[in-house]
Amino acid sequence: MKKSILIIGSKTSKKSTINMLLEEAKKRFDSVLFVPIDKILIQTGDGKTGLFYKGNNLLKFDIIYPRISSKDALLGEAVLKAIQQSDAYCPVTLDAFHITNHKFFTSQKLSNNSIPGVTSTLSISPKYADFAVNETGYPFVMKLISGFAGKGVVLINNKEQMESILDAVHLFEEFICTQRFIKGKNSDIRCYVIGDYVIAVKRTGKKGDWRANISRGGTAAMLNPTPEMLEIAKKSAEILGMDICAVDLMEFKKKLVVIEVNFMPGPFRKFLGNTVVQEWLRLLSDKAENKKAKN
Amino acid sequence: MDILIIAEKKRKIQSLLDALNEKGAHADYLRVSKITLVSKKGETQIKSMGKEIPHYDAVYINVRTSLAQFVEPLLEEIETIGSYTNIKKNSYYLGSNEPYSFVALAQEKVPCPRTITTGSGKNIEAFSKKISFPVIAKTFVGKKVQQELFINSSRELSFFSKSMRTDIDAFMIREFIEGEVISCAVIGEKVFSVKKKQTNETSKQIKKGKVYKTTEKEKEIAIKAANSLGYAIAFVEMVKGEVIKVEPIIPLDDFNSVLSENLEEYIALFLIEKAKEHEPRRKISYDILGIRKILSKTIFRKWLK
Repeated sequence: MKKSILIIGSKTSKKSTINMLLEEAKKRFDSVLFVPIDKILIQTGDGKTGLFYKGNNLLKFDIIYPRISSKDALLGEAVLKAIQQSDAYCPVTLDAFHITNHKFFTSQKLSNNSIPGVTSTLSISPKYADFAVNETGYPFVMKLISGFAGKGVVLINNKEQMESILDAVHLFEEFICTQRFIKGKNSDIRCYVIGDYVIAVKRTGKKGDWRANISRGGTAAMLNPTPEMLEIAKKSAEILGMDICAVDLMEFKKKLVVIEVNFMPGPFRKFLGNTVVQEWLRLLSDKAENKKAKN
Repeated sequence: MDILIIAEKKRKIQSLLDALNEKGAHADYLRVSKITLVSKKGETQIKSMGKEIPHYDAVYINVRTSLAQFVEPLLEEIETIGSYTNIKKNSYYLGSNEPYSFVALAQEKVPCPRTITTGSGKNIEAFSKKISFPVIAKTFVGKKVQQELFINSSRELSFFSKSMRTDIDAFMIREFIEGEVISCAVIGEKVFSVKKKQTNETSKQIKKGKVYKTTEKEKEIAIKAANSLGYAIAFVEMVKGEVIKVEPIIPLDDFNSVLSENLEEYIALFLIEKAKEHEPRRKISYDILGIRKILSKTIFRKWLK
């Protein structure tokens, strides 16, 4: 029973992560191919859609794992749409790509499904931003809707700061996404959801930074997930239709709230080794075996 | 019958507002930039200038697809409320991304010219064999078309690829189909069309076209193309039965001047008919005395929903 896997990489993919993925994939799959998204050929016509790389039909693989970001949206949406109609198993969906790459949309979707979150707003014009601030109060966090790795996130403490930031936001034709700021924390909990399995990690930001992102110099350590963490993380992943993702949680008023969900989480190799990558590949391999068994 | 029109400028939809009011509907206009979406305490509200907007039987959205990142969460909420909208969820993501929309059309078996898209023009020779010339070549930066050219041969394509910017996000070539362009205004099951000559690159200038009656087959294709991308009201263009463009905004003034019609009347009738079929699940009444606001902070909050 031969199993095959295709990993689609992003323009922003880290080489080290891809190498780890390929190394683990080769242990579990008979055929492994990695293709950067910008090298894929999308062909439509005669009522058919095909994805090709060097003449190979990419939709023939048992498993397709796209690790793409908002920067790949132009090709990514087309590629995910094509994958969705193929027989390949894919641990993420096109809807999940849209929602998780949009900070407000994630809050909205989860909040509407009774997942605890913090007050968030989305508006177009800086002219009416005061109404958004009335909802969150000061201080609040302004986010670029598709920012990642702690980039495009600004903490705003007062009206003066807000006005200067709004000028820049307007200049770059960005939407205005605000979120209530949770004071006194520069740590959060990242829950890697891998099918039914959850790996919980405490992330702590570097001294002086209010963000907990590892890419900004923070640290990470594994912890035993509590029932609350497990429930929120698994339910969030289920609502968004993802078998692989990372749900970031923070404590607010003695309860956990979801801050964001990651479509393409990093495996924190420096702190966790290849634990996360091994679990991703275990799930994908199991899915391939189930698929083969059904056929 | 309460109908809300969300648009960017009032003057662009004034005729539609007039048509709706003349036909007995209560139509309001809301400028899209005045909307704030607020997600808190397990629900999301659509607010304008700090106040939650009442729920309408139908909402007509007429804004550019470049606002997709705002429109999509808005659509999610309108669907939750249960109001009718002229566009479906995901339609603005489709409308703002040409390669994505061509994949969606192909999957729905809508006839379209053969199209090839990739991240760069480097391996252009290899894939130019899969397509017949002439072609329309486009480069994209982000989701915006950065360059558009008419190309006659693989040699020209090679020249073009060498002169292309290296920081593009995608390169697309589409077979060029010779013939007259049929521009269609799709309004529900009705299709109004204009036939015009095709220039080498684009197919604008409806005003220079002539009234055209579509065949049943063409009508079916136009409606299917619009619906495949989630639009009940759309602008569709085709050549020899192959769809080359689908957009959610109809250039109404241009169609009206060629057809000597008032298409706003048809849109108004269509929206009224749809509004009758839809009733919002939660209809908020206006809070005249502020009682609702006071009650919303008490245990009666759930009852108010």
